[in-house]
Amino acid sequence: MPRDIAPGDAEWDEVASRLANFMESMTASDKRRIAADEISFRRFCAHAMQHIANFLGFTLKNIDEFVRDMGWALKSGWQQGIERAQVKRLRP
Amino acid sequence: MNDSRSYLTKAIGWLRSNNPHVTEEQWAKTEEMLAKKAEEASPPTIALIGLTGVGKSSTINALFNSGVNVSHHRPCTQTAQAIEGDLYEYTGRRGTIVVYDMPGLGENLAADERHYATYCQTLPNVDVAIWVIEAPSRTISPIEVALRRLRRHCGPEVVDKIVFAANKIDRIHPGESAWIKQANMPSLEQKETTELYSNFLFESLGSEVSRPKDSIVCYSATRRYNLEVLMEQVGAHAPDDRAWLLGKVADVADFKELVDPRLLAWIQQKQHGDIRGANRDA
Repeated sequence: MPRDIAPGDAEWDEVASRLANFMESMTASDKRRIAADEISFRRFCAHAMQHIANFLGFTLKNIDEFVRDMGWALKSGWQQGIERAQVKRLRP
Repeated sequence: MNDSRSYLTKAIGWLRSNNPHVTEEQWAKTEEMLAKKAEEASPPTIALIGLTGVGKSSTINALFNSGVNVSHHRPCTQTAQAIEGDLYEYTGRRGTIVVYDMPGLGENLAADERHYATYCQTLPNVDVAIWVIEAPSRTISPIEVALRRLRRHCGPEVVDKIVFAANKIDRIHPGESAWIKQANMPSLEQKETTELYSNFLFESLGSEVSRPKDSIVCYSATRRYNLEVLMEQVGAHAPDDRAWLLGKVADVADFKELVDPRLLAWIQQKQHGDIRGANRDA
């Protein structure tokens, strides 16, 4: 059977502190996954859009840039990815 | 990735502003067709490899159904040549995945040879593979040999879609009795053994896979320990444009449900105390 600890035990604070760190790392992992899923979905959209555009007879500009910016957003989050894309669009 | 429609709107909004030459009518049609494509995308497909009893089912339940057993699986009709193991549709709370449940290696040479043929046939067709190993198993050489052969016969991309999942780390040395029940965490000694085991896997499999650090995850399905990292890596090993489908159906069992509420309250109090202290200092 796993062992028990209780408040007041010498180990309690140390375990709680380790647990807090672990929980933080799990939250960070979850956030990274959600950000990666967003990028993945945009890649899916980009590929599908290209097919649709061909089918409907028009050409989409900036679709590669769209995927690239979203790839960068994986590291910094969706909002910053959009901001970066907007800044680049305004660049002369 | 539970609200693909709102992401779809964001994605189209961005492209729309960058493509003023596309008419409103064309955009309306494009949006409609794109939504249809997203709806109709085939369910994610996972190969699950491992010896009997390593915890393959509990791993799938822990990642895709909040840790709750699914009462039955719907077997899929085999369209290709029959494979060893089971092929079934698994429907969790958030959707369906297709699972190829395949035997692990290390029973005997003849069986390993058959299993290897199954991997060659199946792995190229799945989005991601989870190879479940029971920690601290050291029977790794058959896996090394299989990876080397897979790389040669099927290409490196097939090997690079495998996540090596070392389950049951709650039982790792010095044993289950060392697991700290209230925190639902390994003791320091177990943590150290887990790191050693992870290094052992890294050294054994590192030369066969491109991203060994990311491809090896130690966890416990029944204790729900480190599942977020396992799910993250499962997504990271899927094709770029298909990982979101896994995210859409992911329903990772909450590890905190098995933690003593007094510990969670202690942490919350401490965090609030730190914030109040920081505010006072400011």
